[in-house]
Amino acid sequence: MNTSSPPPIAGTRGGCASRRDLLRASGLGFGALALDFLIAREAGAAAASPFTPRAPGFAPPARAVILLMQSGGPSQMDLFDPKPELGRFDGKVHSERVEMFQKGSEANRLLGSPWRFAPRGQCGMAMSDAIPHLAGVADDVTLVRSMHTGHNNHTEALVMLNTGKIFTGRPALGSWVSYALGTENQNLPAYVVLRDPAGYNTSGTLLWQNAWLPAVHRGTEVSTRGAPVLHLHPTQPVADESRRAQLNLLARLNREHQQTYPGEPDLEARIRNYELAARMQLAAAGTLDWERESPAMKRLYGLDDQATRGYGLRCLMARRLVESGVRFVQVFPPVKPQFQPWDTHRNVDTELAEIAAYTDLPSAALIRDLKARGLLDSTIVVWAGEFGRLPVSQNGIGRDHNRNAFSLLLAGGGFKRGHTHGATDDFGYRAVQDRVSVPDLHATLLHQLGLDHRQVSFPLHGRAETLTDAEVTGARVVQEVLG
Amino acid sequence: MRPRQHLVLLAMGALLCLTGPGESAAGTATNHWAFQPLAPQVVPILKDKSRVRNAVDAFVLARLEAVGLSLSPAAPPSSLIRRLNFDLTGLPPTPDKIHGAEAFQRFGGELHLENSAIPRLVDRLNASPQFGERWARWWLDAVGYVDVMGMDNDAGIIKLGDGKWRYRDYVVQSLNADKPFDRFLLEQLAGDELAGWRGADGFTEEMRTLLVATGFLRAAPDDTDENELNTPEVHHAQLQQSVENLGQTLLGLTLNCARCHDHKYEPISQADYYGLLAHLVPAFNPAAWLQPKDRVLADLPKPQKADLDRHNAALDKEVEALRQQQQAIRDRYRDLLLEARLPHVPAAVRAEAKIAARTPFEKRTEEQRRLAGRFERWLRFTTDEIKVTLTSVDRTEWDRIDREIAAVNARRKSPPLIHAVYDHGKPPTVHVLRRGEFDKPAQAVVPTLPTELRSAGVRPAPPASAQLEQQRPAPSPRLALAQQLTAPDSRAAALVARVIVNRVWQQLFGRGLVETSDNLGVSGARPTHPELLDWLAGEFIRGGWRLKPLVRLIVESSVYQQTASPPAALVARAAKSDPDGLWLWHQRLRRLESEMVRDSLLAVGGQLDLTPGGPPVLTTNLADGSVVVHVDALRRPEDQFRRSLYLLQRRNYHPSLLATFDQPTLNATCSRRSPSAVVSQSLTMLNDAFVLDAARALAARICAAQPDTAGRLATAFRLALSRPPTATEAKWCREAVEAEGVQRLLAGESTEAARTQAMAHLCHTLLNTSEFLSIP
Repeated sequence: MNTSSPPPIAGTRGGCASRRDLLRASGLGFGALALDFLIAREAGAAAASPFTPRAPGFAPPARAVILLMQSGGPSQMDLFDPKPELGRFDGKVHSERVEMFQKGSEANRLLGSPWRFAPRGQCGMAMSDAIPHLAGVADDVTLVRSMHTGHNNHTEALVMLNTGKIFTGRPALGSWVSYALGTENQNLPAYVVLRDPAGYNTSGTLLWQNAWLPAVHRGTEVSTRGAPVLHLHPTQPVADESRRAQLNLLARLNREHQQTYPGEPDLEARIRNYELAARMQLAAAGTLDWERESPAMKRLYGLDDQATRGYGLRCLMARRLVESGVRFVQVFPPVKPQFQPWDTHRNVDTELAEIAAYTDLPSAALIRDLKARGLLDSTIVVWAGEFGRLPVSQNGIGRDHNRNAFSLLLAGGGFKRGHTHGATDDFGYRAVQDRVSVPDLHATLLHQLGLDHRQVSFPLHGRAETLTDAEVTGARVVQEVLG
Repeated sequence: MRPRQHLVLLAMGALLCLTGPGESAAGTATNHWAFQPLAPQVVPILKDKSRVRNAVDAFVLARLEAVGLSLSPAAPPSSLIRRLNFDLTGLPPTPDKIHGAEAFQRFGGELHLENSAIPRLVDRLNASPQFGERWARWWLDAVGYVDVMGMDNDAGIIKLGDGKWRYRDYVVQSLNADKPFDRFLLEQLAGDELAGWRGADGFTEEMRTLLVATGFLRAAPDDTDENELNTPEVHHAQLQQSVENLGQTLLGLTLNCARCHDHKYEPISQADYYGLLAHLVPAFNPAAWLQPKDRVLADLPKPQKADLDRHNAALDKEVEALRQQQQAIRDRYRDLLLEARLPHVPAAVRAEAKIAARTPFEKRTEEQRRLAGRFERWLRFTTDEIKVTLTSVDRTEWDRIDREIAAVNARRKSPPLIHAVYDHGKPPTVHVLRRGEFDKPAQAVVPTLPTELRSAGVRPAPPASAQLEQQRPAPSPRLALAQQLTAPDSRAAALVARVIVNRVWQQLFGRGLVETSDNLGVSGARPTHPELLDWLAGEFIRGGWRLKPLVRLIVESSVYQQTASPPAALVARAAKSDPDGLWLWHQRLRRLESEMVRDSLLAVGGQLDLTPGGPPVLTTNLADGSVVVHVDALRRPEDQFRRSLYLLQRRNYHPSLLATFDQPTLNATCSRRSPSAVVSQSLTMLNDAFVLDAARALAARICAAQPDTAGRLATAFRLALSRPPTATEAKWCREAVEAEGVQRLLAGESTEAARTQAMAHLCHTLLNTSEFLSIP
């Protein structure tokens, strides 16, 4: 998660950046770049790390992001987007034939929500009883009701929400942030993934892949159970003295070898990595030791309740990581009752109640806690699924996937508070007013981190690739949601 | 602010060298170098011939002379032996086995090798069965081969493509046999057309090979076994992904952009894209789509296949009967539970609710489904809920049925399967698709090569309509495609040969003559040595499209055999005349590929099992996020020590050790791996149990072979690093072993245990060195 290679922005088409690549790039006419790099190398270790904190383009409100991934497609008309017309015409055939994903909605009959909506907080934002705790922080969030995406299958839509396009093989948002900004803590990865230790959600590691960005920018899985980082500690105990002697001998052998190949930057990186490994053990032990939190704090995140404990621990860990300088934390929901827990095909009453019971309290607790610590202003919390659900019933009182409309929450990091943005049609099927695409969302998030989405790029196959590919997608910063 | 400038500069640079947005390169005639036929190349004649072993040297030296540089000295023999072993077989040298007695004697002493020693070593390595395994990895990366079906999204769900591995073995065997690449490509694109398999009662060995070869075209993910994804949109997407893979693997071109519009950066129009795609349409026929489960061919004579189908159908019936027995128990208890809970349902709808609850889900009306949904809390019972209410008698009966069902299922038989590609059904007319969307057809196209690759005198495939008029089984357009791609003196063959030769060069030098080996198009890098590339491509074709002579030609050159540690004076001169490091005045220190890391760990400890071929060794995802060999699922214990090529190849969830060392994800194809140096590699080498086991095995091996510490250390260095220790290194290591031994004695270990453990500790340190991970 650290090398002494030059800042990775100097990487060439595909592959990892190396000093050679950088110098080669300089041969294409970027002489100043090579000079910069050589000076940086001489200046010492930190300057040559790809994680060296880098100044953004302009003073940004936010320095970190926590993405609370709500896989499965949370039902907007049962959570965030009240549609009285659905109740009025419950059971009636909808005038518009909706786009189905699975079987079961052929009758095309509207389904009223079984949930009661009410105005919340000072702002009066409407949310349903399914999420009482998130409803309690309505005054701290922007609710976007006019999201839309590119596909109505989970993988494509999840990949789009996390990487910008429906095709796999592009870097995740977190990888771009790591690539562009580095981290403020040299002993921890810039981009951390917290998932249910019981398994991966739908699309698994596709959602934190570096793709063609250098490998250091891949999301690092940190576990809330057992060793926090894979192989952080020996499988069998090693005496401290033995390990110390081993690392000393290793350093001597590696230095000796390096003298034969002075032009190879990776050899320096390897030597440094053994030093970093030791620092990481200590840093990880400090940051990830959540046990030292107070009983009140553990209760706030629901660690005392079996239902909320798993996801709550990940939310708490996310706060500890951001506090320690990590740039991007991606938090995943439980893998039970299913890999995509918000996928309420059968019953928007009972199925929704179950997953909300696991995630509602801890999600709200994170926002409250960040606010209490004064961290919410500089941390963006995103609560989002990959798509929404249909206004018509499926399998009785379930709902099928809908790519034409979904809702999400944005808190902190300079987003408006108690603000509702955009609207769907009378039945919640399609975003109609102030529509926000996924690339728009990404452009806006990068903007709040001080980055111009059209400029943070990586050269690939002769093209300057960006997260938002604005030339094709027309991505724009959604100024209307910024405070 | 400095790094910020880098972002902007590079972004601008990338744009400046391209056609601007909005303009299109398609349709305009180009004279792009990669699309030209191969012109005869004159091998340069040099004044100083002392380093010229073959034409490769002449081309490179001519360029070096022009910029006032020279080659570095030859690599030390130990380095060269290590380099050749890894490059040709993917394994470290094992002194006693692989390169024979004469090299072994010189192995430790750094004596001069006889002139014939290296050619003989190359002979032996080229002929070794491990050659095909190492180069199969190279080809399978480029093809995007995986053992699983579909996108492979969920870590815990492994959709093993039963029998897909036969294609992997076909590649290994073909490369070992040095099958000419024109034949190799022909078999992979259209082996089915050569096999005459239709109507055969059973497959001959030749038919089998030719059908298995078409597994090449089964690399793109196909999820259409899932009914929700068995839709026209997905069929077309699969077809598109297949042609894009083909463009990458064989043409070194990124065609993807032309799926939706004329390519902005390459002279490839949308019509070119769909013309190329049209070759595949009769096989991936969207008008008569075959789900993967129906596409596979059972490799059994027909009567046996019929017997097997009958056998399995009888088992289906048995299982169904058992399930009904269980259902009867279930229904009884459900009714009891239902009676108890019905009072919770409002009286007005209670009767209807009861009927709804007792009706199987698929038979419920829309109204019944709604009712059952509204009152699900009281009307729905999970199997677990029902099971806890069973009486002990019924519970025993229930469990007995479960066991019987399992026993019946265990008696199922499956035939050997071949994941073949063959034309089927009536092929539809192929259209350009507006924006790439299947329901927006534009003009019709016929199977043709992209305009830039067409050559006069090379016949395109007959259009599908013509085939229909002929009223007889017409040859597949894939056959014509394969023939055109290797047609003598054609533009297409020139490109294919350049792509392959460049990838071979990349494999032996760490960088291709064209650095962007995945992109030989207009937007790719230009070749550093265009004459050499074309000469090698021509030589490859003239030599009968054979890989082994090509590899031999390159590795026997002085250029290849240079040291990776160039003299300081040369480095200083090159800083001025070759700042970009393009002119090949030294070899590169390369990091081992992921499979080499694991295979080496097994090899140095003598654990490696060289059994070739067969079904993949399964892997499993552990709760801590790691992926390891599934030890409980091994067919035989030694399988856990098989070469990495034979481990289950997934798209996304690679064994942790391999993933850590940059084994690529294979959602599409991979022409070029990117070696990194990240801290997780250090953590793995320090703390992974697999590495510790390898260290212990190495220690046991050297302790058995040598009586004293000095001899043991020397052997450990030879095995792990392919060279003896220097005097200084020997001293450091001896001191380290002694100190560790004393520590352990003081901790109360026996003398013998302390000695062995101390040596294992030292071996573990050697495995952690940068040098262990390097090809010098």
